[in-house]
Amino acid sequence: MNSPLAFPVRFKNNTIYVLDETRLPFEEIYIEVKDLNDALKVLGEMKTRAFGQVLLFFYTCVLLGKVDEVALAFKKKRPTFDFLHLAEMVKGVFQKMPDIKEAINIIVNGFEKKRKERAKNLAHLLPKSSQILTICNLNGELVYLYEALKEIKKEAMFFVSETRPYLQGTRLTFWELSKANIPAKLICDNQAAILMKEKKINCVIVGSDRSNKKGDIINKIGTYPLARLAYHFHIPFYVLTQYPKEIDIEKIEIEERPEREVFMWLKERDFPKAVYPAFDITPGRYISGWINISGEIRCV
Amino acid sequence: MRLKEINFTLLIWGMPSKEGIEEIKKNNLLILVPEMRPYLLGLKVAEILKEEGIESIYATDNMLGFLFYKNKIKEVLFFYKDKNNNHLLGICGSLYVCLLAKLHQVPIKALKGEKINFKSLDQDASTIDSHLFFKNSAIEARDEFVPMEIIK
Repeated sequence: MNSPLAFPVRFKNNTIYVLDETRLPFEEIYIEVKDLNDALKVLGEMKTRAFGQVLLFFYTCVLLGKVDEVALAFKKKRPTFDFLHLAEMVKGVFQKMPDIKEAINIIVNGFEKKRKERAKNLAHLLPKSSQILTICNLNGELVYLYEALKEIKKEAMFFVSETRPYLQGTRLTFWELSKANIPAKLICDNQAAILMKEKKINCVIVGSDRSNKKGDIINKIGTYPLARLAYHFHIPFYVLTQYPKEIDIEKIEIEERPEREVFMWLKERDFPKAVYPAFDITPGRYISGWINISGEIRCV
Repeated sequence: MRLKEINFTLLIWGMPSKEGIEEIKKNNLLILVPEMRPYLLGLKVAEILKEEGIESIYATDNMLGFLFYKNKIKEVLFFYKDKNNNHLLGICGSLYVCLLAKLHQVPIKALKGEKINFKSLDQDASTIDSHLFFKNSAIEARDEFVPMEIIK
């Protein structure tokens, strides 16, 4: 079974349809994107993110027939993500195949196959009875993972960290797992330590927005403390990476979102001042294994 | 507020007592109040501190790791509920905060906290500010024991 989040952005009749993730789990509605301004609005308001923003980038390139301009505009809106690398990827395929739409289709279809393969490879690493802690949302890959675990007769239970303030864990991951009848429980972000101490969790799986060849990653805020705690409790911590590069991760700009978004989902009142770094950095020394988009595994 | 505007903060965890508030007033550091899920106790604590003339900065609990990593937290003031010989009992998330402080070599000062006498509408991660997402979906939020060795 595929999660609606596995392909949250689609392209049809010169229009991009974006699943509005901010409305989930209450409504499954799609926003129509017809030009660059629409795309940037959707991106800036976090209507889609992660794999969704990759697809949005690709399809906006198709819509406009331009790549570099789209990449620069997207990067300005969400500075932490590597849109410039995606632009290079598109141009690479475009050189061999001048029809941009066809080139994008090849890339996107390749992703789908690779993500399923990666889930299969990861399943082999996990315990026979996996108690998996996760944060934010992996766009359907946990559903693939569960299917892959079942295929090799392994059991799994997911503990989903709610992921304040946007609650992507609750609204997206828990929703997609429940929809697929996969055993899962929600936890407050701060419950991770006690569950690790009580041995309720035996592995952690997260995604990454950026990664380098040393193994350092940038991912949704709240990832780093999970890695630090998992390391302390000797619990394996696995990361799904995209294209690790030779970069100094500390030099990448960590996006800070508007203060009012910290109080997302709370009733209106007199709120205090707040900070909102949207991502954090996890040094590679706290990570047990990396699985890249080609399914290659590197473990310490 | 941007992260670069923050130098060092004093992190408050739990419900401060009157003595604790005096302690906070004596301090020159910027006060950091986490959300303290599921109860959203942080909103209440920020309000109490404001009434006492103390301004604070709010962050969600999952942001604390990054703030420790960036050396933005200089000390933790942990208001516990109870103690025995080997442990301090604190609200949900106390182990998370104290362990992260220890792993970043940030000192923790433990003080007996005030009794929490407001009824939060949220008892676990299934709701936030009484907004229900999924019924019977969450792990129960409980008070947590923090080993004394972490505090030391």
